[in-house]
Amino acid sequence: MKLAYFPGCKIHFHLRSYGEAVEAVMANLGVTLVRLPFNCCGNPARGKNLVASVLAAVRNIALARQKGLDIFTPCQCCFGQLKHGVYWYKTDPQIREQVDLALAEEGLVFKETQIRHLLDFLYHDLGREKLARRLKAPLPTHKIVLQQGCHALRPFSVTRFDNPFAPKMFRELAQLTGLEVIDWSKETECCGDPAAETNGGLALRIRQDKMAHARQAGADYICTACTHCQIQYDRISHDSEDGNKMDIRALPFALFLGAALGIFNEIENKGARNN
Amino acid sequence: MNNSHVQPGFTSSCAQQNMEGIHCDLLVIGAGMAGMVAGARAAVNGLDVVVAGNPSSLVFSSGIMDYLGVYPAGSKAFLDDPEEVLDRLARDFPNHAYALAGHDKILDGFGFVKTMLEDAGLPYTQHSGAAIVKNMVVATAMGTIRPGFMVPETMAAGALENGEQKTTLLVVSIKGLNGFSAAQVAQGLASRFARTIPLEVELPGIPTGVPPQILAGRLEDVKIQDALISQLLSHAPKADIIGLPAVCGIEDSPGIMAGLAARVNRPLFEIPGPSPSIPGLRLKNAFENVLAGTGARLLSNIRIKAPVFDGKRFTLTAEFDTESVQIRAKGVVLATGRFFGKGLHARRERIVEPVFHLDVAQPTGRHLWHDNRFFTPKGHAINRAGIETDGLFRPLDERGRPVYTHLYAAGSILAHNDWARLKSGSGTAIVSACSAVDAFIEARGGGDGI
Amino acid sequence: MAYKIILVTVCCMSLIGLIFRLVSIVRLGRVFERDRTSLVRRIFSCRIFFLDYGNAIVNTLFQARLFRAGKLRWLAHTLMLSGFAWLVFIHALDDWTGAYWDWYQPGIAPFRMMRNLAGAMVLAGCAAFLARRLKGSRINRERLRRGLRFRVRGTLSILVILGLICTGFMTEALNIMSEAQFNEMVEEYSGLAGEPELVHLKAYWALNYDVAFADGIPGQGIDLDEGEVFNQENCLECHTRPVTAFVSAPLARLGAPIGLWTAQFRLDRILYWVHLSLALTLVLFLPFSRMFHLLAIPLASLQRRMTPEKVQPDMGVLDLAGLSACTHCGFCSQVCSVYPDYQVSENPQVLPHVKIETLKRLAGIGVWDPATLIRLRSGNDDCTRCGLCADICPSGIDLVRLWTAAGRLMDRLGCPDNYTTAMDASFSRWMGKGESDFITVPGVPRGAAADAGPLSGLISDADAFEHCVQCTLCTNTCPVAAHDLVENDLGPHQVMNLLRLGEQDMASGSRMVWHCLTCYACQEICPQSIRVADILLELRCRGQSRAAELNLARLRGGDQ
Repeated sequence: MKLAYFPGCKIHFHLRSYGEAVEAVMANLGVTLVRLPFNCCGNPARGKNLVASVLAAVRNIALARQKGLDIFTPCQCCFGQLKHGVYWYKTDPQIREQVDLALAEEGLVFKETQIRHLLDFLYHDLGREKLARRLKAPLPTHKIVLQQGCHALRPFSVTRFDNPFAPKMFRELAQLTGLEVIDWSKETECCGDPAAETNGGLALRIRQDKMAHARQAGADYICTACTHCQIQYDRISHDSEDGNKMDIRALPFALFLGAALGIFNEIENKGARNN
Repeated sequence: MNNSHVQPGFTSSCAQQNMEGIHCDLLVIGAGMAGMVAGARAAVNGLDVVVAGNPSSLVFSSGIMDYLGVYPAGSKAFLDDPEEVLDRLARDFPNHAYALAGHDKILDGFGFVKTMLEDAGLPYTQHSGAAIVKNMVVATAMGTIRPGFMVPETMAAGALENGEQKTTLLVVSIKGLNGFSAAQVAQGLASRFARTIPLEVELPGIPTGVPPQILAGRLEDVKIQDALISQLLSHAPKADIIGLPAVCGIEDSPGIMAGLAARVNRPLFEIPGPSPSIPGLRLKNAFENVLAGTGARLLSNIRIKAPVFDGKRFTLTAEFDTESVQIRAKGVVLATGRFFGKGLHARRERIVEPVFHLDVAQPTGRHLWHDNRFFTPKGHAINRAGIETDGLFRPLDERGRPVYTHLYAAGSILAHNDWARLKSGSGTAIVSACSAVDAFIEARGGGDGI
Repeated sequence: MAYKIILVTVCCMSLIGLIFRLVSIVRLGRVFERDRTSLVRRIFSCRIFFLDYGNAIVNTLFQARLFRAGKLRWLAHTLMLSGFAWLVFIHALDDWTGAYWDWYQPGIAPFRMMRNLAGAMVLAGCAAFLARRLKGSRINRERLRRGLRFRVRGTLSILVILGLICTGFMTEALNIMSEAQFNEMVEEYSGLAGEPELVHLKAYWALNYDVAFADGIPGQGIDLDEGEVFNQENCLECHTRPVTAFVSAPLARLGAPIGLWTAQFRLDRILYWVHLSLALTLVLFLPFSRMFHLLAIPLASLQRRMTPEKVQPDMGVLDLAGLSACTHCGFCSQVCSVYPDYQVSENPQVLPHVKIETLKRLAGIGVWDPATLIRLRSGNDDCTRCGLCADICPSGIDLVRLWTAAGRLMDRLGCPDNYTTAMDASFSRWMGKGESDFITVPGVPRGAAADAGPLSGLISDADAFEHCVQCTLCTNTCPVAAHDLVENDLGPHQVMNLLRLGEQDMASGSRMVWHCLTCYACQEICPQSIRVADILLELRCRGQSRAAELNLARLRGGDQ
């Protein structure tokens, strides 16, 4: 199976280890990830210029469709933004007109294609049975809490990813690998990354609150499925002021899955930034 | 209404999740009390059920579940025993949900909900006297009292009996939480207790006008609880029982309340308070978890339109933001609520039901919708408008026959039920939802070719 | 002798120019750095042992990064560079380098051939570059929109090199044909001057060495064998047959009639001086022309790349060299992730290859045009720091570090980002005094202005927000309201209320709008299905334009 790989802007420079883990996992699952000259998904532009953010999203989709490929991304922000791009394109005729003109400059025409995030690829396209059969050995019973990631969950009417209040895909996939998923009240709350550059204090408070709750819940790890969430939790180990030694380590699900598939041996080391 | 689709490379192992079309046994339109109960009832009994709607309406619930608080509507006195007046109600309103279902089914419904919520970590309490089915009476943030058939466990200690005359009540309010005044509550309840003491506590970092949900979240923090306790401890010895605004945490409120009560060494109870209601939020969360746990699918915030029946099943359109998707269901439960929920729509001259265009029982003219006096004891006729059903809760056409074999209606959309004044909202929702689903299951099992 | 004096003089002047240029680069740092560190300290601030020597060597010798970026361009460039390097060392400087080979002579076979080969390589490279430039592919013309200044300067350098090579070939051709030079050589190196036997040598040379004799060669009485013997005795040591000069020799043969005619005024001499002048021009202007990248690129390549763990927003000396190492190849803009932002906003400062020039100019002469600074701020803030431009830059410039430093530089120059402007602006300043205060900045998008059709979709459409019943569910569920409890000014429901009052501008300046995490919890829970988060974002878009306007007004000296 071939999918167009959409890593998003952050993996390459800011979180290379996550991209490597995802690529290794997908290769193991027999998927060829095709690299296309994608641009930014448009999420950063969303708060500045709606048309630019829609064009950005839609161009990627048109590119993938041109090659007859579905899009696969490990970043939930990218996933949500690509879906939003389709929404705005379909809803607003003036945006559609502007975007069509810009696409035509390159000879591109918008046609929809499937947009898959890692989790819903594993759950729907691959399926739990097939995935279970490929697992080499269950993981040691790490206790994890899930950072579901808001941009894939909400608004449900646009993303259609999972139940936005009681999502199950992430949970079931994690449990499949042998992880013990603990309930916590912060599961569907935003990680706070969007505030990191502008309002560092807010981002910090959200992080600290998350950590406190994860500790209280008795988790060994926070498990993420989005580049931005992972970067946000990683900030704790790199911020100088926030030296709280009780912080819970966050690791992307791709790492756990890779370990369960027998690809990685030491997830702790692999999870280091740009390792 | 086009389904633009691209086939994924692998065949989906979960075909029913295929976004091109959604198939299910039962579609529940509406995710309020009735919708959630219907969805859970169906899923627990093995049906493949989809619930489409916005669960946020549950947040407007006080958390207290009513069977029947007042009868007839407008009387000043609360009912002690709802069952006592059921016959009378059935005579007065033969089409009322309670008349159609009967006392046993109502109790069964409450029991079902109580069990489910308990499993989800939200225990409810009924009146402790087992012999007679009785309403409880609890205080409100207004300083008034109200009946309730099932109350959240965190409110139970505050159920008013007759023995309060000898006790002292400490009423606590939190500075910054608007809409809850200890003084007002203390004053309102003064006659029922030997003494009522108002106390305002100040918690760190809580500004004026704090949104209740945010305060409730803060109260899950041990440090904030410590601050609360330390201020309570100086006053607690004076009182026999302590009432707090219902903001003691969102998750595990029973645990938090138990912890607090142990530390002040006094019984503690929550008083249902300003909007948004945290007990209502807890109810919503609990229902969402229940629903998800049963395998029912929730289409959050999705409008359902254009139903078509081909003799065997319904085809409806689910309007997502990006496209419309067909839903195919063998049965439908219409639990879309009243005017706020868009289950009923008031036009210039008529009230209509916008999804199936069912007949709506209503006053003959708009001039009869309302009385001139807002608080008239007679109530307003518009609040009794709604969908009339048969004994299986299937909406009727003008000839009095079910419009569709497997279309059901449940909840506040039903006619002849001025739920706000009768204090019968939850009970109606629960019993109609359960009955409708049970009827559908039985009909399915009855082998009529579904 | 004269040649040596001129060469040394020009080289000294060039060296002075080089030093001047390098110093000016270091002084650029003054604008970037907060403190006025001394020049000397700044130069020695780069830690010698931490430099990336491997990258510098590989990139300088083999143009490894260019190879990765574009194979054809690498080929053209390598041809040019290696050919030119050969010509510099084994031709221009052969007075010194030739001394190491005791058998080196410019006129003998291997060296003639190599010289022509090198010249041909440079010619091929130049031709490829020129063709690309003149053709102006769609990518070049439309996508990159280069300024005229760059086009002229870049082309000029190539034309000079082209001229150098061409004059080189022509000079060699003329040298081959030159009767005068033949006579000079005979006079100086053989004993045949004036002797009747010379005619045999002349004939031999006319036939085999393509010399063009004005009087021709007598048809009779020529003994070519005798000529060959004389050749072996007197000439062969330094001159083999020119046939190995596979460019100059055919040129000589073809141009024989012209050669004869021009011999009168010694065109060969003239062209020689032209050729020399061109070469010296290149050397003299090396520090100030595009050719400076010969030095700048190795310097830039020495810099260790910035990593996410070590974010160093200030610029070291090598980064400043990097500013000058840009060759305007445009690869960076071709891979730029936010190119769609440029397509919509038409702000050229979005594109890396434009940004870097603006930055360099900014560092050099300060703020010359507030509007450009605003556009640069906007473009640089659009950048997602994905790192693709830095990866592909053939010059090895650490662009991500540049863009990070640029942000802080602009802060110090009084041009903060829109967020900071919005949060810092007082209420009255944000609201302005009237319509006339809302000036338009070309190249900065208006966002959700009332006149821009689709972008006013929600906040000007009453249907989008009037159904709000102020239930406050959104504010209760908002993580910004929860975690910024004291600082946050309005909950989302209060922003909806402002819209109902028609106060879009007021709403666009609220903290809520700028801190919104876009988590969409509010929109998901709203019982009236109001697109709460989309409205907040639209207000932010609108606020971006307003913030840019305020910034521009402040830079221009007014205070509104």
